[in-house]
Order: sequence, then C-alpha cells, then structure tokens
Amino acid sequence: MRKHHTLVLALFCALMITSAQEKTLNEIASFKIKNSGSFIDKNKDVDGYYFYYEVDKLKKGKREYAIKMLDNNLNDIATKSYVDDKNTILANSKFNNQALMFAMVNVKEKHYKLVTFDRRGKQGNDITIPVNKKEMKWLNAMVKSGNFNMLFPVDNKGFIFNYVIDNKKIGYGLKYVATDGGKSWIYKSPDESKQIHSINPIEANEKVVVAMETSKKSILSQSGNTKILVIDIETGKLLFEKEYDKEENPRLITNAFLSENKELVLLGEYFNKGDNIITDKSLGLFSQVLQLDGAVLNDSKISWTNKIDKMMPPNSKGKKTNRGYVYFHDIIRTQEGSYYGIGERYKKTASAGGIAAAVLNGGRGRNTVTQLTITDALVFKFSDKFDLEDIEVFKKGKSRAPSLVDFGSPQLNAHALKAFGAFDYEYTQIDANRDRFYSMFIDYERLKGEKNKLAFKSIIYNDGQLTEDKIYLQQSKGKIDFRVLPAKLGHVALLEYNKKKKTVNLHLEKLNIDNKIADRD
Amino acid sequence: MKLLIAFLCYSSLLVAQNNVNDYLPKNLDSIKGYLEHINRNHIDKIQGKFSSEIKKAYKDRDENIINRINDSVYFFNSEIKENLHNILEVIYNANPEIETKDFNFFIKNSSIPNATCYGNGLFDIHMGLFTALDSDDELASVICHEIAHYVLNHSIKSVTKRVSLINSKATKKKIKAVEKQKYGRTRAGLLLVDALSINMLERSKRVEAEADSLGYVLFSKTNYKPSHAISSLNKLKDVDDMTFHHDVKLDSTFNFKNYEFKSYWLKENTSIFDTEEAINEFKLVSDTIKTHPEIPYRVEKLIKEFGISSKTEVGDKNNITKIKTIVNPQSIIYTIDFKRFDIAIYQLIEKFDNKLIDENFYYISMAKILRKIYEAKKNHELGKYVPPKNKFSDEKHLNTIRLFLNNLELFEVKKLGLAFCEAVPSKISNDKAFKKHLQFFQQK
Repeated sequence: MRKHHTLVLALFCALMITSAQEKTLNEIASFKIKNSGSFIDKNKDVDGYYFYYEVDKLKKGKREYAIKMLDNNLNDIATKSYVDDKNTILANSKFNNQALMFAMVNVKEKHYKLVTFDRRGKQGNDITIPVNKKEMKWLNAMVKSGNFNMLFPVDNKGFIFNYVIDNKKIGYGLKYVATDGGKSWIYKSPDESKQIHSINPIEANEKVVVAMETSKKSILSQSGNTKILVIDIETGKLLFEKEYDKEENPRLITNAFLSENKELVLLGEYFNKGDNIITDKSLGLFSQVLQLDGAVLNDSKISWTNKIDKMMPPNSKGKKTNRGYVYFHDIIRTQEGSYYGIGERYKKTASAGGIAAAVLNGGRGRNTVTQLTITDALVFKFSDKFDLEDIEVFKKGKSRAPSLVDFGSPQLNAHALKAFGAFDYEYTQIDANRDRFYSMFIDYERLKGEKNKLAFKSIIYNDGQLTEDKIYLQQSKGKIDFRVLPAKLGHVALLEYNKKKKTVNLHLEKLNIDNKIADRD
Repeated sequence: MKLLIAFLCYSSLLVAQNNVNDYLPKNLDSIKGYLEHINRNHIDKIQGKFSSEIKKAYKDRDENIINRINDSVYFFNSEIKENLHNILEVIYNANPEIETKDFNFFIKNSSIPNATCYGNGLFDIHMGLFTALDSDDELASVICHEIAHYVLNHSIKSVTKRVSLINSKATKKKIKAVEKQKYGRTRAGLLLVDALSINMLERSKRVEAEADSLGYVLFSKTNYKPSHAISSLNKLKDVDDMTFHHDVKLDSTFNFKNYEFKSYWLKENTSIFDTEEAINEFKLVSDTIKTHPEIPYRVEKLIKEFGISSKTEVGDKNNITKIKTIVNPQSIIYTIDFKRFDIAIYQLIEKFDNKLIDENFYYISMAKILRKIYEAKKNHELGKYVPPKNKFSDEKHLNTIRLFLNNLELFEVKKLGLAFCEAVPSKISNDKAFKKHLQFFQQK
C-alpha cells in the first residue's frame, strides 16, 4: 500500500473538473459489470465475494474479462484478467482452502469451463466439458429450483462439478477435480436409464462424497425415488447406495453429516409406505445412522401425532392450537450431539383477494382461491438418540403466498413455493469450531402504533441455548434501506442505501448473542 | 492511507455534534462571507484559453468548505488560533511583500501530519502536524512551504495545466483514436489515462520542489533556526514510516484479573489468496507514483541549494507546546466523536504510554470508548466505523485493534468494559463521568 504523503498541495481532490473529454475517457476506460456473487460453502460460510466484468472486445470473438475478488472482510484482494470467448458467463464459484474454482458457461460455444486459481493467484489448466442446448436448459432449471449444488468444494481436496447429461432420458455427471495432487474422476448416471436422474452432492470429507440422487419417470411426474450414494473420493467408485423408494421406505432427506466416527447421519421426514414425499403428509421426523458400507446402525423416528403434537407449545393465548404443517428447512447436528430442526409453521387458508378475483372473472383466469399462510419459526431440539426434547417457538408475523394450484396438497404447494422464496427462512450458517448455528429469517413485523417494518432475524444457538437477534431493514422513517447479504460465520454484510443522500455503504456486522445467555460463561 | 483519508472525510459526515462549540465556529456567517470573498477574488484572477472551464471548477468551492465545516471536519479553538497566530506573525513580519490580509488557517480534525494550500488564501493544518513536530521553528518551516505554494500560484497553474492537457489537440486526437479502436479499447483508454496521470504527477513533484525552495527563502528571513527546515522534513519522514507502529500490546491493556484476555480475540480468517500484496492485473504505473518527491531527496536538495547546516539547534517551543496540550487530547476526542474507535484506542494507548495525556483522561476516555463500542455493536453498526483488518495494510498495530474490535462479541465488550472500569485507580473511580460508564456496564 502507498504511504501517505506530507504537505499535499490541494489540486485534484478539491476540484472536480469534468470536461467532455474526461467523460469520454472515463467511459472508454470503464469495465462493464456482468454479475457478482459470493464464495459460499456448505455451512453457508462466506469466503469472499466476486464481481465479473467485461473489459474489452478482442480479435476472433474473444473478450477480456476482469474478475475482481474481495476477501470475507470486504477487502480488495485481487483483480484478475481472464480471456475467453464472448458470451462466457461466470455461473458459480467456490473456494476449498487450496484453490478457487469458477464454473464458466458458454451457451454459444456449447461448453462448461472449470477455471482454477491457486492461492498465489496463478491460473491452472482449464477443464472444458461439452454441453448441448437441452442439457444447458435442464441445468438452468435445476439451478433455479434453489436446491442444487453446481460446484461443491471439498476442503483441502478438490471440487465436484455437478452437470446434466443428455443420454437416453436425462442423467447427471459428477466431475471431481482434485486440487491436492490426487486423482480426478467422473461419476455418471446409467446411460440406458429410462428415468430422469438428478443428483446433489450434500456432504464430503477426505474419504467419501455423499450425494442424493432423485429419479422420476417424466418431467410432469409428481413422485419419484430418492437414493443416497456414497462415493470413494480417491477413485470415484460407488461404495454403496441406499434407496428410499416410494413403495417400501419413502423418506425426504433434508440433511446429511459425516461424523468423526466415520458414520453417515441422515436427517429428514418419513412417510407411510406408498406415500409420495412431495404431495403427502409425513408421519414424522427421522434420524438414520449408517456405516460407510451401508449398514444401518440406528434408525430413530419421531411421530407427529404421538410425540410432536403433544409437545407443541400453546399459542400466546395459552391455547393448544392445531399444528398445521411445518416446513423443515434444515436439521442441524451440534458438536455435542444434539439435533435441531429449523422449520416454519404454515396453513392452507382461503385467500380473500383470490376469491374476489375469481368471482370477478367468473371463475376464469389463473387466480387461486387458496393461499399458504406462513407464521412462526419453530426450533425442535432432539437428543443425541433423536428423542424430541423441546420445541421453541419464535414469533413471526404472518406472511401469505398464493397457492400455485388449488387442487394440490399444502405440502406440494409449500415445496413449490419454497423454490420461489415464499418462506421467511433464508439460510442457516454452521460454526463447527464454536459449536454454534445461526438460522436467518426475514420477518415483516406488524407493530402497534408504528409503521410495519421488515426485520432480519437470526435464531442463534450458542452453548446449548437459543437466542434471537434482530436488525430492522428500514431506518430513519424509511430514508435508509438495508439489504442483508450473506457473510463470514456469525456475520452479515449490510448494504445500506441512504435514499436522501444517495449513498451506499456496505459493512460487516457481527450477530449478537443475548447478554443474559452469554453471561453464564 | 489514501483509503483512510477518504474514510475520515466520509465519517466526518456522521459525527454527532458533541462539541458544537469546537466543531462549529461562532462566527459562521462571517466565515461564509470571507470564503465567498476569497473565492471570488481567486476566480477573477483566472485568465487565458480555458478560463471558463477553470472558473467553473472553482465556482462552488466556498460552499464545499462550508459543507465541510457543517460536517465537523474542522476544529475551531481560540487558544490554538492564538498560538498559531504568534508564529504566523513572525513569518508575515519577515516577509512584508506577501499580501496576507486574506490568509486564514483552519485546523483539520485529522491525525495525519499534513497541510494544504487552497491557493485563495485558505490553508488547512491537520492536527497530526502539531503532534509530529517539536518546535515553533519546524511548524513555521512547514507553513512557509504552504505559503510558497500560494505565492507561486500553484493551485491555478496546476488546474490550468490539467485542463489544458485534457483539452489539448494531442489528447483529443489520442482519445478519438482510442474510441475508433475496434479491439482492446478499454486497455488503450487505461493506458491513456495512465500517461496523463503520470504527466500530472511528475508536475506535482516539480511544484513541491519549487515550494520547498521558495518556502525556505521565506523561512530564512525569520529568526527561526534554519536547521529546523531539515528536522521538520525528517520528522515527517519518521512519522510516515512510523504511522500506527506503536506497539499497543492489547493483550496487556485488556487483561484483567476479573476477565482475562482471550487469544481468540486476535484470531484471523483464512484468506483466499496467500500473497503479500493485492493482485491487480490492471494496475496502472501512475498508481505507484507518489505525488511528492522522497523526503531524503528533498532534504538533500535543500542542504545543497542553501548550504543549511545539519548541526542541531535549539528551537523555540513556546507556542507549539501550548498547541500540543490542546491537540493531544483533542485528536482522541474527535476520533471518538467520529466513532473511529480503532484510531481512538490506538491514540489513547500511544499517547498514554508516551505520557502525552494524563491518567484521568486515559481511563475515562477508554471507558467511554468501550461503552460506545458496545452501543455500536448492539445497533449493528460498528462495521460502519471500524473497518475489518486488511491483511495488505502496513498499519500493523491499527490493524490488530481492528481485528480485536471486530472479533469481540457484544457480551464480551460488556464484560471487558466492566472489568476495565473495576480496575481503574481508586482516585478516578469517584469521577462523575467515569461513574456513569461504570454504571452502564453494571446495568447491562
């Protein structure tokens, strides 16, 4: 960094002269932003941020791009030049403590390109994977569904690139790129399969990759099967697969962990035999522990009716209310062995606006007369044996989302609406070192005697206790708006826009743990 | 450091107007009139080919200064003014040919040792300059350098040069040629910007050397000791090298019997790149050029040009000592008012270790800072005022404070605040202001 200089004669800073020439020169010498994003890992920890610019047009259809990178403290750490074909889009990026990988997509040239930079900023050999239009379209749809890891970092090992393969029907490929000098490999779905297969890597360590495979007969099919695949990270060979098929053992898996004892822990909801995990109501929650050869060590289930409903706390008026439905966003295992399920309560209710519109249209049109009413956040605490110990309710204002279809089940609508971001839940960050987690929600608070406000709420688990922190997203009578961006563990990046002064300020803020709880240490 | 300056300028906008009397002058209306008057006079002097463009640039300058006053950028203190006036009188009397009736020196709330000439009679002196220098003679030498900029009309000349350069036929032709380029236009544009910037920076170095020479001529007419022109430059070099390099020893400053220092408060994150400096493949040559010649070169040039003796001479300390008495605590107070808690803690420890502030001030101010840090964290706004650690910054100890403050949890600030207050010497614990801070942490 340049040092400061003494005895400065004020020439440039005090006077802003903008002649036509300068404007032209500024325009010529400026980079055009194409997109931006963050380097975020499976624990939703942000390693940094990137900004992708187009700099120059070059000969033979090439372009010079700039990738500007900030560290997780928002400090400028690198601006790299990157030359590629025009129409190259930076689709995703991840950091694995050894290298940085960017997934580039080129629709016109029909390929994906995996670009790596080592920790000295040196660009490695690019990996090109051909792609056709259909594959690209499918990949796009999966990314949009919100629950798809295109790039999955394996800390200090490598990266997994998840892509679509146009075979007999639609399949997938997992391309593993080693960054530790190990072997790279590809794992694909069967070429001759008559089903649509998709996969999502959900966990990995130095030994294995755990991925969830779903398969269904057609695009319109509302049912399918789920499989957990465990793949050897060194060879790419399938170690075992565990099927949770509709007929025998339907399960909705929300999370997976690899424990220190080299066991795989799966968490989610279980169903009646023959039930559809998307449209039917689950029977309860489960935790299943598997050995890495596939043997089941433990399978614990907790029923909604026999256990959960009995422990559901009464509402603020002291009445036991109908549970309605709970949409589980995440189930977290703490370092001391307990499990915490993070969910939101929702109900299917009549929509006054939808009914009115339907009446006015004589039943024609696409208005739905029902809606999902989303209310409180619920945190379920389970013991290390997966016994339900407690349910804590965190009050939230009601938010409503119109049902996408009136005839579908509330579960189906909830799943569909989740992809549209209809729930208030944002994400959960896990801090394994300090045994904490932070579940983030956006709530629209209806306040007495005050204007309603949007609030960013975090439910924080620390030292066996849950506390809440809140940041209002509007201040000074609406003159200042905030946007919350994910940041490093236990933090948020607040983008503060002052409407009056037209200034933008981006700053990192730590989430606060309630003093009374923290005082105990 | 450029960033720091920008941040300080920005954060001045956010200052709670605690010291209204010091940050806002009582005679604001007369200052407005004065600024309008000097700006008009200045604009009237502008003539030549690009005069209308240059006049346009100076048009709102008086209003900009008023905005800065309202944003608490300056510190108006009669005692500093009086002592500074004593030094100015000596310079003015020794140089009667200079028309000084429109001269005015504003004191800027900044710890960076610096001074600025606006070319119209208005000058800035940063508080950091008073703390960096040790004699009236050294301060007079720096002021003479700034007055030399005024006499040599460097402000208008530099702006004229810049406007002429940008609007010259040659530049226009180059811009057009770049515009016409089908490929690599942005890179070519950057190269052109770089060339123009280098040209201006080289000129800036030349004018600094000119101001050094004339400044010394003006200074030599006073009774101040000639060698202090050299010692002032050397001290500025030392400060340049030593900025934020005092070892603040956080692990002992914040280590208490009731609450020990935690090593994880200084734990750093892994960064994506393991490099010594930021990677920038679009870096311009002009980014690496300094606006000023290196100080050793300036010192050598002055000695050679004027035969200044390097032997140590005892200077007059009368006025600067009085100024320092006010400035040492004030430079901490304004950083607290500006909510720059990192700089405030740095200065507080550094000045306390160097016995530049008294014990009372140290303990009460530190308790106040910890309380304000608690409030900022509670409101999720500490990051607005205290930037995170930057691994490329050479401000080593300031960086450590930033890391520490950003790593602290809200409840840890409370415990730290309470432990600090409980550990103060008993004679301070009865102070009314201090008691309030103690109660704050006891109640939280």
